Amino acid sequence: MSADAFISGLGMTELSREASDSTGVLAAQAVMSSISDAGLKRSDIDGLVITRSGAASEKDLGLFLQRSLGMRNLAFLQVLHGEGTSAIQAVQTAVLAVSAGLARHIVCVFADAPVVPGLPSHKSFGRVKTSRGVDGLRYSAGLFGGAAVYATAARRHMALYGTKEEHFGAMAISTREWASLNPQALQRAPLTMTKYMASRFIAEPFRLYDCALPVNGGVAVVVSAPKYAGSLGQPAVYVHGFGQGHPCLPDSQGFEPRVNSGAVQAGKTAFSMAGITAKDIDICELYDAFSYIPMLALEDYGFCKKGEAGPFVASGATSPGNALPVNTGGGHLSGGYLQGMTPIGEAVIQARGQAGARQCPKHDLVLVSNEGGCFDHHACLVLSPHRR
Amino acid sequence: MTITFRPACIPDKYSEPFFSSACIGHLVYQRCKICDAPQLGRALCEQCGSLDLLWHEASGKAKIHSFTVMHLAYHPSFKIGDYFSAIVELEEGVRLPVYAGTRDEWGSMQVGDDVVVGFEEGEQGVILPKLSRSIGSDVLPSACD
Repeated sequence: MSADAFISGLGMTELSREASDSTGVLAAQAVMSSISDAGLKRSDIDGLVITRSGAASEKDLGLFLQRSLGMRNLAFLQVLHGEGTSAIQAVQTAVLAVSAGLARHIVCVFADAPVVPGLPSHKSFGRVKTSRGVDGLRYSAGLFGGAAVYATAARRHMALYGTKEEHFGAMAISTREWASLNPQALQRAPLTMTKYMASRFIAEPFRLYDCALPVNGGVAVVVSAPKYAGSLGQPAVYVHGFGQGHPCLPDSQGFEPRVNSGAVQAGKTAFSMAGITAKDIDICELYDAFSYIPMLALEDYGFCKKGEAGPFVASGATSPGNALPVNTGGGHLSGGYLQGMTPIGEAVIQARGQAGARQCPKHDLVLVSNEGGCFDHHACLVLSPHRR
Repeated sequence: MTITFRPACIPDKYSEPFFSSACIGHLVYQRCKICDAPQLGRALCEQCGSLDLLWHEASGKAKIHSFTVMHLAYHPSFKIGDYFSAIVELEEGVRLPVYAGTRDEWGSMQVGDDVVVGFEEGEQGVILPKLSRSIGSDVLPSACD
């Protein structure tokens, strides 16, 4: 492939459910931490790609970040918005820019501070909106927040393929098992099927444990030109392939936008670029704002047959010590919902071999996915500790 | 007792016929004159990009495409306990999100069920779709500007 770059640094702030610094300050902290992790100085950085939550605005986190960081003479700067796919799109953009010679070291950052003390979790993102035109009908119908729209998608999957509530539970439990091995994960207490089934519903079929917990925090990665590999502070994590898929299926008779994602298209592009198939992937870090999302990704990447993610996950295949480790840091569900950056961070840690008790023995090829809209946007990366 | 209305969906230029027809109890949708694709009120055909769209009246007959039962109330009008919200597919092929009601009325809802789209009043007098089990069981809006 002509695009050639590696991830040289990873920075994460503390994740918090309490009052925290502002989104902009969290972003700046994550950027500085990632530069230090890479063994670089702030003055080495000549590119910055900024991403934020759909609920945040330019005044929360935007181009002003450059000034906050005191970064002068940047050769590459942009704010990128792709809903849940922003984080991976940022890394892809940085890889392309570095490969084209526009910059040497580009920091990609996401930060968010949706948790306000006293405000219930569901109000972090699911605020009442009045929209113009037919797109506002969902709010009039009572479908607020991501949980409501993804719940209708999960229900459609149940109706078409016989997926059961316990299957979503199996995904939440597998993810929690991984989280229990990660000291940084926010929720590590053991989760049993009995406890899962007894938990309160949010938007049926989703229960509490099917939904990612909003957190305040920031994550940044540094993308560097290949000539710097081996001379910096951390083992290099190479980008072997990447892709996007934006299906935009009409919501009308004959189309099934709730059970088909852009992972098919994104995976085809990324696997072809990396010269691999799904069978070669050792670890998956799949976007999981809700338990159903990584399950559909498992189908659409070809790790199991269409409609069979429920039984696949219920077989235990994705949990620690089994065939296909999925969301090894606890994902967004148990780890913390830093939209799309959580899986990138864990992929870098696994590829480097620095995951401690949860380290997967085989970590040559790690797939990372991001999902946005309601299966409208998908992006992925294939990462490896080895140079292609 | 104060009635709390569901949040209004503010009509725009392209969806205005949908809401004004709702005021007189008619459910309407667009059909592309070029490719025949059905849709709700938008400027362009979602499937072929054509601007040549015509409004048609729908029968109101629909099937449950999918649904959820919401256990959180984000708006005062939904502080009624668990409530059912559905994505329905009109027999003309269009899908739209519609409020159904409480568990008392809709507890047995299944994907594929036959339903009817009627109307009720929302905030600011805007008339909104409301699901019924059969034709004539919904209450048509009493007053429209």
